[in-house]
Order: sequence, then structure tokens, then C-alpha cells
Amino acid sequence: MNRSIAVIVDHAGGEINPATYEASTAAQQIREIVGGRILLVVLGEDLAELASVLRERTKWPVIAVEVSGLVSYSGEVYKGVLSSLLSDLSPAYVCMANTTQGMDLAPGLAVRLNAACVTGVESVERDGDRVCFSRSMLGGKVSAQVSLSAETAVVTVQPGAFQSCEPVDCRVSTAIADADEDRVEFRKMEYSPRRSRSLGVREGQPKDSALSEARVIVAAGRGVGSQENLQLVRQLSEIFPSAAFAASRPLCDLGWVEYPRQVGLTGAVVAPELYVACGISGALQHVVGMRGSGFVVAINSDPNAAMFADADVCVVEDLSTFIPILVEAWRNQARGSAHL
Amino acid sequence: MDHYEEWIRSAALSLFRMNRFDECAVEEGLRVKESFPESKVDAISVGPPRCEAVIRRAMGMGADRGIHILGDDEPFLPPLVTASRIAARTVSEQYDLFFAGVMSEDGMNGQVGPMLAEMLGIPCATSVVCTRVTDDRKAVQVEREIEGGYRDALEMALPAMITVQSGINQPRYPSLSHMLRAKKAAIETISSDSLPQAAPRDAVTRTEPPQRRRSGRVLEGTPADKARELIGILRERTLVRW
Repeated sequence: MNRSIAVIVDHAGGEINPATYEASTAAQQIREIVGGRILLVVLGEDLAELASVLRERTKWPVIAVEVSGLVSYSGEVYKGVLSSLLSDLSPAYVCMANTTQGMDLAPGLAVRLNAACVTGVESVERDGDRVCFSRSMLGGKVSAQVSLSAETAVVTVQPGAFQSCEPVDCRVSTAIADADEDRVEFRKMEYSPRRSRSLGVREGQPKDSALSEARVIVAAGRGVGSQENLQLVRQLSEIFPSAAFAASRPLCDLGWVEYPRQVGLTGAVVAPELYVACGISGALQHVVGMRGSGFVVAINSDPNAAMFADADVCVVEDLSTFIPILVEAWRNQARGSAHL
Repeated sequence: MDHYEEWIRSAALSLFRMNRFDECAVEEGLRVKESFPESKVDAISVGPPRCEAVIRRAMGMGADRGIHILGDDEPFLPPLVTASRIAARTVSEQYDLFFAGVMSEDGMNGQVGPMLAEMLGIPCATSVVCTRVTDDRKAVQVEREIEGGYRDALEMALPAMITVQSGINQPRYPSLSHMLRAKKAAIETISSDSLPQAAPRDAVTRTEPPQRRRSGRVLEGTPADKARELIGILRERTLVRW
């Protein structure tokens, strides 16, 4: 019999992180290659509602492990509970979203399960009768194919790389395989963390509503190189209607731009009509924050910048010289049209 | 090795310097040392001979000792193997705290820190943006950056592993006096072959350019040509002001 594929559910505050459904799609693609059934595993204190939402959405068997006191994610508790549960279930693949939770959990869990660990998976491919994965390296400039030599693999799935598993799709594709498993199984486990304790979830940085309302976002990345060039990028936003200024994480870390202006996985997710990426390398952590934009222009002096893979128009130029020329070209054309 | 792989190799080599997240990790370790002056900071790196420069930089920033687990040039060394080599060297030491970057800039796996913690049997927090060792020196309180602008706060008993997210601090530049000392200081060098280590469970089997997700029209000509064309494209779409 084929071994199963377990999907670990990422949830917080009673909400399932939508990236879990993208990890579920990856699990479906793995199943198409290796077979087996898919199980959803959810951990928490009171899971009746979450478990039924998961069941409704996927029609897959759900194992809901209720641990008293587990009100939010705890690495120590998750690793302890899952290593014992998964040792029993012995899934061939353990999938989860490459969220801060998945990134925290997967490597340690893989060590406990004697499993391979592949993080930030962006596609599932066939490698003979086995599965291999592709993932980004070198800031997204390279896509690497990873194959496995272990019996078990713990895989984190990059948010934004897979479609979310749609309720209908799940039902159609699993109607036969899981028809006899119309169930949610609740288990109770006691697990008191010994080496760590939660101090709760706190408010961090507020978001800037200007980003969600702007028609155009002009964003700067590490490639701007200096604060003077950053000023140039700010000036560039003047040629656009209803434009907001944003940045990728490195500039916020440098203190050059306030964190509420950060676009990306750990910042704002935006979808303006036009996104102008100035000196942004295009690491997936940034790209997932702007992929929904209508039209994307990338300006970067590095012709190999990963950002160009997500751009409609690519300009390989140095920002410090190109932006003044661009603003000048806009002025000339604006003047030209005024004379018409 | 095809043309593309060669390009990756040279790109990786030209990039060779301390990982930015690790700079933050060294800085955070040095700040703990400043709060507890009797403590010491060791900088440990796994890799080929060129890693020595990175270890010396860490010592230039203020680390007391450097330890180099020397291997051949092993591109795409699985994080499990890296972690097991560090575990083999550090298991007998009485370290209270381990700091690592949340991920490397080249491999972007984010695995070495949490795997090492598991191998040593100590608690671990990843993506940390704030740390504080308690006054009794028995625990560390941290905040992990999580989705939606929130932070997950927890306390871990020492010894503990912390992987730091960028932005946690502004790493200092090496000081001249530290750099002079670092230049002369001996670095403990251990051959990775001499250490017990995990067998790899995964391998990078192919590399290629990232897939295009948009049309990616590349503008040609002089900068002025490109600027005119770009303004034209944006005007057609009424995306610039008139």
C-alpha cells in the first residue's frame, strides 16, 4: 500500500492561513506521481470549527490533535506532538506552507523523522517514479531542482507558487480515493513544553493604507545603493497619477524607509495597476507581495536580476542616470502634447 | 558543467562574503556579550578555505575565537550535513546561546540553525527580531516576526538557538584594533572529514534560470531611447500623468 501524504495546517487566531491550501495543491501534485492518500493534520486547543472547515473545503480525512493549553503555535509542542504522531502514520511526504510557522517547524521535524527537508518549494516534478522539487536560490536568480534520497521528506511550499486548492477541484479529484473516509478524527494529547513557554502574540508594525489605495506604486530595493538615489526614486513617483512610494525589505532594515512601506511576504501585499520596481533584486519574498499588480516595469543594472522574470517591461540601466533621463522624457512628451 | 552552471559558480564566488543575516547574528551575539562582559563569542563556519576571511571578519567585529570546519568546495552542501558538522564540534562545549542567520543568501534554505538545535536537543526560535537574556541568565526572551505584522513572543531556557531576521540590528563594521588582532589570531581549523556527520538525504541535481511569469519585453537602445519608449508604453496605458 502506498504511504500517505500529510499536510500540516498553519492557523492562527481561528483562521487557516490560505497558504495551507497552496501546500494542499502541492500535496495533490505529489499524489499524482506517487499515489497514496492525503491527510490533513491540525494542532490546537479547540479544533471543532477548524476541522470542519478543512473537511468541507478538501473532503480529505482530517486528524485534529487537541492539546490543552496550545492556544498559538509553539515550535516545541508542534515538534513533540507531530514527531510522535507522524512516526505512527509514517507518511512519505509531510507538506506545509513555507510561512514563518513552517520555516520554524520543518527542519527540526525532519531531523526527528530522519527525513529529507526541502524548503520553499515552487514546483513538483516527476523524476522517474519519484518526486523532485524546484526551489529558488541566489535571491531568485536560479531555480534549482532537488531530488531526494530518503524514504521520507518534509517539504515547505512557497506561498504564491501554487494555486490554492479549490473546494470543487478537491472534491472531483478525491471523490473516488477518499469516498470511504468521510471523517474527522479527533485525538487528545497532553504535551507540556519543558524548555520554552509562549509569551503571546504581539502587535508589530502597522501597515500603511497608502499602499493599498495607490493606482501606481514606485518601489525601491537595495540596488538603489545610496540615499541620494532613493530620493531620485521618490521623485520618479511624481510623474505617475495617484502614486505611492514603497520599498523592499533591505531598505527598511537599513532604516532608509519605514517598515509600513515594505512590500513582500513580511510586509504589505499590493496589487496596483502599475508597479515600478527600481533596483529590486526580485527575491520571491518580495515578489509574492506584488505579483497581483496589473503591469510591472523593472529597472535594474543587473541583467540577471530575478525581478525581470516578473516584469512586463525590463530596463537594464543604472538608476542614478536613468531616472533623470526618464523624468526628462516624460516632461518632453507632456510638453509636446500640450502644444497639440 | 554547462554555461549556466559556470555562471552560477562565478556569481556565487563574486558574492563571497559574510551572509548578511549572519552579520546580524554576529552582532546580536556581541550585544549579549556587552551586557554580560564575562561571556565569550565564538564564530564558527563550515566551508572551503575562503571561509577563513569571513571568520576573520567576525573576529574583526569582536568575536573572541574563530573555528573553521574545513571542507572542499562543495556547492549546494545540504544543510543537514552542515548542521551535523557544527553539532559534532559544538556538542562538547558549554555554549549558552547559538545565533545563526535566518537563512543564507545563496542557498536560502533556512535549515542549518533549527536542525542544529534539534541535533543538540535545545529549544529554537527562528526569524527573531528582538532578544533579551533574563537577569538570572537562565533564559532568553525573543520575539519572532510572523505574518500580518505580528510578533510571536516566547521564552526559552538556556542553552537555546536563535536564528535572526534582518533588521534586528545594524551590524557594526570591524574595528581597526579588532581587525589587527584578528589578523594575527589563530583560527582553530578542523577537517570536516574528521567529524562524524549525517549522510545527505537530498541533492541539487539541476539548476536553471527562473521561469518567466510575465512577457519581460527588454527595451533596447540608448538610455534616452529606452526612456522615450517606456513613457510611450505607459502613456498608451494611461499610467503616467499628462
